[in-house]
Amino acid sequence: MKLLVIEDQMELSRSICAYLKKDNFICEPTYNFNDAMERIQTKNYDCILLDISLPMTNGQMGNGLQILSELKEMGKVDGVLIISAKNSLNDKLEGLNLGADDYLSKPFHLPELSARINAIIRRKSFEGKNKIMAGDLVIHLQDKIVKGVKGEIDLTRKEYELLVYFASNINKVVTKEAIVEHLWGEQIDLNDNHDCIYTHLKNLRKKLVSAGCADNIKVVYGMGYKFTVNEQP
Amino acid sequence: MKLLTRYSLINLLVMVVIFFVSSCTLYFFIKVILLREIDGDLGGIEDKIKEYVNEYHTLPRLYALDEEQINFYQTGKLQVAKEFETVRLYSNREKKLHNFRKVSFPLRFNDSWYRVTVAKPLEGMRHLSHTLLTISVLTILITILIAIVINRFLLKRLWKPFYQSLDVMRNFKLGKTGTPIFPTTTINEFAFMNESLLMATEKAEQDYLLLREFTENASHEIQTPLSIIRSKLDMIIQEEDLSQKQSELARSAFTAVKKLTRLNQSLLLLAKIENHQFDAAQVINLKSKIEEKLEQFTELWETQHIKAAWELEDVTVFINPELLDILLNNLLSNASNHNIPFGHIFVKLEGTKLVISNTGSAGPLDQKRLFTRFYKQSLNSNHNGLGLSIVKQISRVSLIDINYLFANGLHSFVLNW
Repeated sequence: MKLLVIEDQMELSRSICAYLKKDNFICEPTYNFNDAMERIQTKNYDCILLDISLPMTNGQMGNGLQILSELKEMGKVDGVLIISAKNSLNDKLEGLNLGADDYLSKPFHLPELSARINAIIRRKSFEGKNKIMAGDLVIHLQDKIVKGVKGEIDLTRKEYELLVYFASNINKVVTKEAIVEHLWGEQIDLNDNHDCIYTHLKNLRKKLVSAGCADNIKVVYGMGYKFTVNEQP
Repeated sequence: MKLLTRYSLINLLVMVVIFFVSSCTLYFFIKVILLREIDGDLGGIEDKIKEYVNEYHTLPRLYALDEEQINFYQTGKLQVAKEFETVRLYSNREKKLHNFRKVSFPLRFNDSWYRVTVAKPLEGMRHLSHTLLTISVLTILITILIAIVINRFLLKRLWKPFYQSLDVMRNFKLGKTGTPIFPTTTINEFAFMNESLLMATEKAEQDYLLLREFTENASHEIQTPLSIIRSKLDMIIQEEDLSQKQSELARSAFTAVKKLTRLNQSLLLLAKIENHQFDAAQVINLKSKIEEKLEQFTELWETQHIKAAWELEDVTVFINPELLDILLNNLLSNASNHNIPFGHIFVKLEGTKLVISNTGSAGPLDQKRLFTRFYKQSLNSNHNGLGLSIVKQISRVSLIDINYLFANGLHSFVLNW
């Protein structure tokens, strides 16, 4: 899957590309407004990561929202995820109005970015893609149903969200903080108390195992969790 | 005390003193002058008597009709020289005792010494001095009264630009009202004062705007390196062969980045609220909004073994939805973070009043510093101490009256719309 990363911070762009590369994404980084404009006109992407404040070749600052309008004008259906340092509701609303699919404010967790990109791509692609296969699990996104070896697994909403999140970050170490932020949002200050995810995780693992699935969620000591799936050829 | 009142009081006091002194002096002078006049008259009579005696070698005849009462006494020898005195004598004309001015002088006649006394009634002088005094006192009194009245009105008029400027300054709020407009005045001192005030407020306003801009820009600029650090950390922990020590290092770095991120976001939020970027308010059903929040929090509270109870009335409020969201998040997070295991949280929405109470530390919090930035109960607290100051700012711009109470072991925040 092809991804255009429009982000002027080279270091951030490199991290994003490195993280997503393992997920069969091909990332094309671009660091300025003019180059980004050129690329969206000549190629199609599955998803575009778009930073709002972008330098132009003439040294001035360009507005990433202009790229959005251009895309809309050309009638392209590329998914767009805005990543902005501004975290302003106005920018968010304007971006979403101009056809962006989602908005993520900096600084973000890479697993969160991955989850959002995956969600956008799934939403954009129509047939056959509305389910995720992860090892012996099948997640039907449309109906929010998870099926294991022995059939349907009954999950709570949080457990389901957690599983989808893991499925978007297969074979990656995901920190507890990133999980908390994903499940409860950044606004709620949990005072570094991560007990709540522990309960959800324990129940999720129990349910998966009793449904005959492998216990794929591993604890990475002191760090977080990892959802491992052995890639089958 | 008002400047004008104080001035009027001093003025009045000084005027009264002047009035007294001038009245007394006047009275004294009138008396002295009139006495001198009478003494002059008496001297004239003395001269006439002496001339008469020299010319006719006989004592002058006395007329009963004369106003003056003249007497001659034979003393035989030379007596003390001429002397004036005021005495009470019987007036033939008015048939009663009166004040008289009397001169007595020695007179040599027929080889014998006589003492002559000439007395002149002071009645006329008394009337005259009284009349003069009354006129003068009245004039002074009227002058003082007029001066006071004129002072009052004139001063009020003269000081008007000063009070207007004072009013303008009182209504001036940094970053709110813009540059103040002072009244134009032709008086140099006031014009100078207004100019100085204008310069000072403009400078303050400018500095304030710069500071606000700086805070917002700094916060924005910090977001980018923060996101780079976080992304690098996310990459580091993906490495397969991380040792436990490395993991711990990464863990600490993650925690620090998270704190820094929160701190920065809080500061940015405060700057934005102060910059009026959340001015768009709308009517919101507070009850359903709180219910929605409580649903999110209940799950968290269960894992912390906190029991929550609520009682909500159907209430709508006019507020910016984003701010309301942050407000409730902060208050509810606060209630759970500062709680004790197996503690309680109570939420009550009644009329225009929302009360969020929680069990927690045994004593009340410091009322005065509670809402200030970076207030922390303990030094090594995990919080950045901005949560409540954000709550306070939101309350301020949303015209909510917020108070903290501590009673029966419950810390309560009371919000009044």
